[in-house]
Amino acid sequence: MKITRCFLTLILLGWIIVTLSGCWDVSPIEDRALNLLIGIDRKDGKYRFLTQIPTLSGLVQTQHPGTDKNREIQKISIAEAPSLVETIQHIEDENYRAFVIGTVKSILLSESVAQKDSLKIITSFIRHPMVSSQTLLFTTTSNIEELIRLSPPYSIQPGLMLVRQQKSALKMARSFPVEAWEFVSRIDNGFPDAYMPIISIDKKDKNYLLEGMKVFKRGEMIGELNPEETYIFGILTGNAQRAFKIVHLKDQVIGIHDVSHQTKIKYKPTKEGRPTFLVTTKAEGTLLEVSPGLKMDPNTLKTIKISIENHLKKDITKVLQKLRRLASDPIGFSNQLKIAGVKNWRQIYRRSSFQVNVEFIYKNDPPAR
Amino acid sequence: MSLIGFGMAFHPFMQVKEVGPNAYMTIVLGFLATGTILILIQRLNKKFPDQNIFGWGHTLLGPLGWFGSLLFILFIFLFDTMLVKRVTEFTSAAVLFRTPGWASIAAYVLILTYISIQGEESTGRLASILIGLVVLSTLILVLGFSHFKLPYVHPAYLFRDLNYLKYGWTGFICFIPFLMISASLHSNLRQQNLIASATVPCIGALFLILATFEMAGVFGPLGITRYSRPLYSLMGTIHLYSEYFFQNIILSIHIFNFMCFTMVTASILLRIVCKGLLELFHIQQNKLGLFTIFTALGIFILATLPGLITTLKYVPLVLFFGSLYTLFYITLLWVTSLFHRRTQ
Repeated sequence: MKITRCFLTLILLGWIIVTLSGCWDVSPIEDRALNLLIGIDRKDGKYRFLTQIPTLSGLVQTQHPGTDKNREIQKISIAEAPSLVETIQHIEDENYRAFVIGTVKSILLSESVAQKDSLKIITSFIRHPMVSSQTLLFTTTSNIEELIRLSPPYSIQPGLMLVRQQKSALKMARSFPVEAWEFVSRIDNGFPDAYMPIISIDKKDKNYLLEGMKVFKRGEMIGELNPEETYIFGILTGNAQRAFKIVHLKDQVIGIHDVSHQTKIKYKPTKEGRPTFLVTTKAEGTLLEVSPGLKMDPNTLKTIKISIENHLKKDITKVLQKLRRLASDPIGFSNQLKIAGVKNWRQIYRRSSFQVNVEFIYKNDPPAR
Repeated sequence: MSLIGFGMAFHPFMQVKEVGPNAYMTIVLGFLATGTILILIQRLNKKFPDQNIFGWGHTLLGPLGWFGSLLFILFIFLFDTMLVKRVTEFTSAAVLFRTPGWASIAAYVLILTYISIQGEESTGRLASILIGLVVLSTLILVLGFSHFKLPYVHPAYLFRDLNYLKYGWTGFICFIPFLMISASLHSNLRQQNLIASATVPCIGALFLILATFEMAGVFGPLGITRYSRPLYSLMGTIHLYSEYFFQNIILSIHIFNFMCFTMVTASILLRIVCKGLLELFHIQQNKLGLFTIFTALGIFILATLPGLITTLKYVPLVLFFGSLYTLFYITLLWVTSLFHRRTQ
């Protein structure tokens, strides 16, 4: 009995080893076309698929003095076809390697694609089990091919650098990242509306410029916020955590550093039934840049504080009115309306008024006066 | 573990858009129904000690009980097959995407067969080793709350949107393997310590409630229906070493945990099917190994042959009728037992 049991176990273990699935998935790295950045454009009814594929040596390029900095660290592949899958096939044909779509870190959509096709394109990527839900999305009004071909002077791959640049705390005052899952989730649920940061080329520095954002309404791109307005978006959503603020006081420039914001939005209809939102923003920052002639006494500090509060209040109201005009709500007023049980929130939102209150607090007393 | 493994695999699969923002409440309803059925099993166990559902069927319903038990075994077999299919689909899609489906299923079924042949004690030891993964999975879930948005699952909806009451049965599905295992045991432990045995579904239910609540809070009530594996997608949103070149570390841990949970569940279900068949057909226990191999072969064939269309068409039906039957059969046995004398 024991021998039979041992024999049976051995046979089972043998079969497990034989059928273990790993063998099918062996594919050397040199046979894979890994990609980090994808650009998608649409022209004459065809998708234009552009991708940065790092070269093997470029992938492991380091700061080591022996590294040849002039060597190409990436290869650009471009394919055109009526469907996305077909473009990927063309990329594979061009590279003679398996195109690994799952390694993509950022997807750039041209304005025309983002306008109408963004949901279709992004969900196609999300459907791929290897593509990370955290893939960053961008849209651009610049030439997408120029953007993909751009090779900024970094020591690491531009596709990876772009992610770091977008997620850095200081950068997140004029541009806010949106991940693929969140973009799709906002469109799926219909509240709040989706947004997408804008990427362009800083021709002077040969670098990526991340400023401003496009706003969506029911999955369709309908407007744009400039960098200043994007900063206000960051304030209202609590995303702008380490921003800076410049105010002009008697022809002098005052610079506030490390400004963080906390905003509370409350839906409070008036007695007459007019929908009203109370927007209360608390900002905190350190006074850093002061002109030499300015006397730092309590009165001046109070004047600066009031000036900042007025500036912010004016800017916030302007942005809110602009978004209301577009009937787009990337900030989250719709959340309050949904909780309040309003069924057609967009209609109510378009009729809403905003009461904005801003309070600025000095974070600390700077060591030097 | 069976609760978490099966619940993670199938609860989101049954979610429909109409459930609304309170989909997580279906687990609460399922838990309450399970608690009630567990009390019925305990009563039956008290009245007929040293018997299990197959014995109760024979004692209480006679020949009808034999057919009832056979149908019960058939549903366990189908649930096990569906679990195997679901897990191997998951690994094929996310990890081993070039491996043919049959190879993944074969490897998985062979491992299940091996564990099952080792017996209850070995499976129990394996489960107790792997129980730490429940803690790990819970910790990962907590990390996922960084993207949680309260407006998606605000308590105000609990009274305003009552659709979750209509779809309460979707939550009950997660608990079925637990009830199947509980009803198939000969153990008399439950009659002495019901609270201790009730702790198990409590922990499992808490985990599932936490997971479904979080999924709805992150992806939104409508967003959740986009993903056939929302928990897998949720893990992909967590920022912890997410700069890793391929998959993020959290997702990799989740895949491993999910495989372990389902492996234990599937091997126990396989063991129950084989032991149940032996008991029903009065076959000697020494044939258990052979029976296990044949049942595993059946699972392999049934998991390999159907395509995606067949799976999507019949899996919800089997889940629905299997759950309904388990509920009905145990209740019927309990009702009949009220008119039956206690055995010594």
